[in-house]
Amino acid sequence: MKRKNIYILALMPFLALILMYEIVPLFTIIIESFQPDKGTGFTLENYHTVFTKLLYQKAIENSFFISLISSFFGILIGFLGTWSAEHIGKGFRRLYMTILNMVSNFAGVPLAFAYMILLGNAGLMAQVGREFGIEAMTNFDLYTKNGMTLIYVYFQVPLASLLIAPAFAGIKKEWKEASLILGGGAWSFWTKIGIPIITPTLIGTFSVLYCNALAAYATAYALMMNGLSLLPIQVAGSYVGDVQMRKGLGGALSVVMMIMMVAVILLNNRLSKNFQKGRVKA
Amino acid sequence: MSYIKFKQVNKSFGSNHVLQDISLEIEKGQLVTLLGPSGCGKSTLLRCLAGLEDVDSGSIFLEDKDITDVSPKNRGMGMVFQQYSLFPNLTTFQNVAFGLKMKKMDKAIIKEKVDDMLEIVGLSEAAKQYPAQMSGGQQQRAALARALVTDPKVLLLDEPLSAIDAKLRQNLQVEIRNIQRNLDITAIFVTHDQNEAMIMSDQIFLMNNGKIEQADSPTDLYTNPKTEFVASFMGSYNILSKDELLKAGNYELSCDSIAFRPEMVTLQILEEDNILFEQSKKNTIENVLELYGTVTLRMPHGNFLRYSINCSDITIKVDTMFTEGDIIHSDTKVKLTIPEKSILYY
Amino acid sequence: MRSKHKKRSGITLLSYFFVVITIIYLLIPLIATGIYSVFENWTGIIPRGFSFQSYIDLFQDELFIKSIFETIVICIVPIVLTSFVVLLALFATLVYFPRFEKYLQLICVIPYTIQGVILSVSILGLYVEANGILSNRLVMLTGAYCIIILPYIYQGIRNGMQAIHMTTLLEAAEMLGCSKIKGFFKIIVPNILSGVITSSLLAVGIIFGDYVLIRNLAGSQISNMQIYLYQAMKTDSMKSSAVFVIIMLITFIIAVIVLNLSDKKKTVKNTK
Repeated sequence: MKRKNIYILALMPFLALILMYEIVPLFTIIIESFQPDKGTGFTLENYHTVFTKLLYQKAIENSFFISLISSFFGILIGFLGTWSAEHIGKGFRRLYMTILNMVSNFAGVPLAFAYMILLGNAGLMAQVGREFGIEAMTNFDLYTKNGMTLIYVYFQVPLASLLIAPAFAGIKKEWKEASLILGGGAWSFWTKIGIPIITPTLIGTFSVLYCNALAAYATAYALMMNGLSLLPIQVAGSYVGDVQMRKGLGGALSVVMMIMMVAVILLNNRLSKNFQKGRVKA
Repeated sequence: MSYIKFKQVNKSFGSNHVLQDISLEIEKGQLVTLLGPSGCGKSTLLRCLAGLEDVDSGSIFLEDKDITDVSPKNRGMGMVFQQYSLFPNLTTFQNVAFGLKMKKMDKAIIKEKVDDMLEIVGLSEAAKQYPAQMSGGQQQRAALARALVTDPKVLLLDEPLSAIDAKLRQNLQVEIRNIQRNLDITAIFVTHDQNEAMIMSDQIFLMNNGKIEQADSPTDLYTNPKTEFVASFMGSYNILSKDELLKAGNYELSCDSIAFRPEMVTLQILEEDNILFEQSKKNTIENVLELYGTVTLRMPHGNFLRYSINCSDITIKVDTMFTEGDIIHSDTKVKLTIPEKSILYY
Repeated sequence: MRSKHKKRSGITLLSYFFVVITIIYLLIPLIATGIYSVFENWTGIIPRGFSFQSYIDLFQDELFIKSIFETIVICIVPIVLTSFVVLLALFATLVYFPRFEKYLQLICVIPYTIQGVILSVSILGLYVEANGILSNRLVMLTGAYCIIILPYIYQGIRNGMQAIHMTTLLEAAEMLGCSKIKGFFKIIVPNILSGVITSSLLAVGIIFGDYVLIRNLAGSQISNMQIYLYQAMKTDSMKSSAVFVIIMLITFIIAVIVLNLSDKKKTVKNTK
């Protein structure tokens, strides 16, 4: 038993790293959210500001809806794509998976830039619209909430696909064959067996996508700087850029953001569990 | 004097008391099997001997020296694990040479020893192959060679054949036994397969719930199981409790239960249909135990036939030699005779 | 039988359609920007004036060369440090304190969820007014990168250790007279090296694509290619599109290498 003590040493560098750059900073930010910017003591003032000032209300609202909608479309397209990939030739599927892997890191500043080239005010689509006199194309405004959602959907698709694909791979050929022998067609296999099996994966994927969108900073910032109020932009803004660092407010915004993530994760875990339970009973 | 000795060894994992006051002695040059169902503590016992688990209390002796606190690398034992224990980045040769290198032996001697050992286990051809390129059987041969090449005081084998398919397993069982005899090495073999234990061992320690249930030679263990558990584990003993025997043949018992082996039963076909099944008066077993029943199932088991016979809803297994013309069909009414001397009382 | 066959091919056709549409959707922004970068003028439908001038200009820009160099430098320390620290921690945990592994996992997964913004501001808030080396921007950034790549490094090393059955191998080594620590460096590390390399490359991809950490933490001390692109975007779209193409090329090369490495590992495992 004494031998073990030596091996605690092997844990020390790791503990130092995570304490210094993960645990302590996160705790500090939570504590500071309950402290006034000047002086010490306990206060809810920061949270009051977050929930009453229009700028921050908008940030919460925008972040929430953009994350929700982009996750939904991300999953939808990702699901259809990976489902289809199960039914196509092996070589083509490999190509598809390679492309997904490649574009899965295509986000942030480069993505914002590409969309500006493509759909911006002087972008390619606007020029095509002008050439053919299609107003809808010329007048499309990328720099709005909807435009932002469109870009977010783009980076959600590969992520969703890569998370869903293993679940499809987990659906065994034998199950399909068993279902076929028992007289079920492709449709009844998917509605009765396939989709119920992958639903927990879909719910889990939703959690990841939602958090991913909520925390995304670079894409939004590169596209419109502070033009659209989003939570991560406001969080960063309270620490960087202003003359004075507003730790209390930034902390409160961060805590709200983390709660929005944790709430969805817990809700989804519960949903997923209920779902599995229901299936066992049925 | 015994070679290996356990003195009141105890070991718990949390609230699970895996080894309960184990004391045992093992002679030099023997192959001893630790046999039992999964979770009985047999692997833990082996791992305690190897030093891979610390004991909570008690002591372990090797050649009369207390080795309880000696670290595994200094105990001088060789071990073969279930699976996946070969170093995947080393060839067979390098794997076998590993232990010798740790002893900082001369390169030429290492080569000679490893080559000899590979010859013994029949792997000379595969010396340059990596574990991933070999079959499960070959991998375990290599693991055996690696354990033996260092001239260990004891060879420990922790279910080494459990992941290998049936045919090959039988060959390896014989081979391991031969190598052990030829090298005259003391070996402890862990398995949950009683056939394997019967084939290989000089002595079997049958374990259950952290205790040694019976320690005997394979024949004694089979013909003379000391407890009901041993009887049920060692083979296809028919075990009847007091109530069941009363139901099956209206016999009175003065003990809890009886056991007898299926091949000890003689079957006799009843010609008349209306033989008296229910005896009115209660019987006691004197020279023979006689039961009446109907054949429900017949299955060939290699060179014998196994019948399932229903005696008033109690199923009795009966084995007979597989000879043509002697086959009894289902639904036939039969009389079962079991001589008193082959019945065990618990 | 025939009707079933017909239905089958209907599904196949539909599937090809979906996949092709998705591929087009995913590639259009890349291809369009790529084309944009090699033409002087793209007003109207057809681009005019093919030229590599923007690339030539780019590689003559000292700031750009500096940003490439700094991107590489800033990758190395966090990856080496995190890999080493996680290797030791996982070794000690799996062998001696297996019950604590779930806590280790939890700690290593948190950064995956909270991501860059909150992490960067929390580190900045804590250390910006500190004394000594901790308040150094580069130290803060390195620490933050270590944490942000932690989930990937942890997963890679963990999977590697599981795939080779680390505890059995260490016990086998011990029975052959080799101590656990020695066995760890002689047997385990060489065997999981390919997994460590794969997850390191994944981490290179993460750090390479980072904008938020470096912007919030490094201030003006150091800049990577993302920062360079952001600055260029505001002034010169031709130059930016060339930077874009180079960034994406590097990203894709990393992604393809990682994909091939992990595929190779899978097939090796299957042949066992």
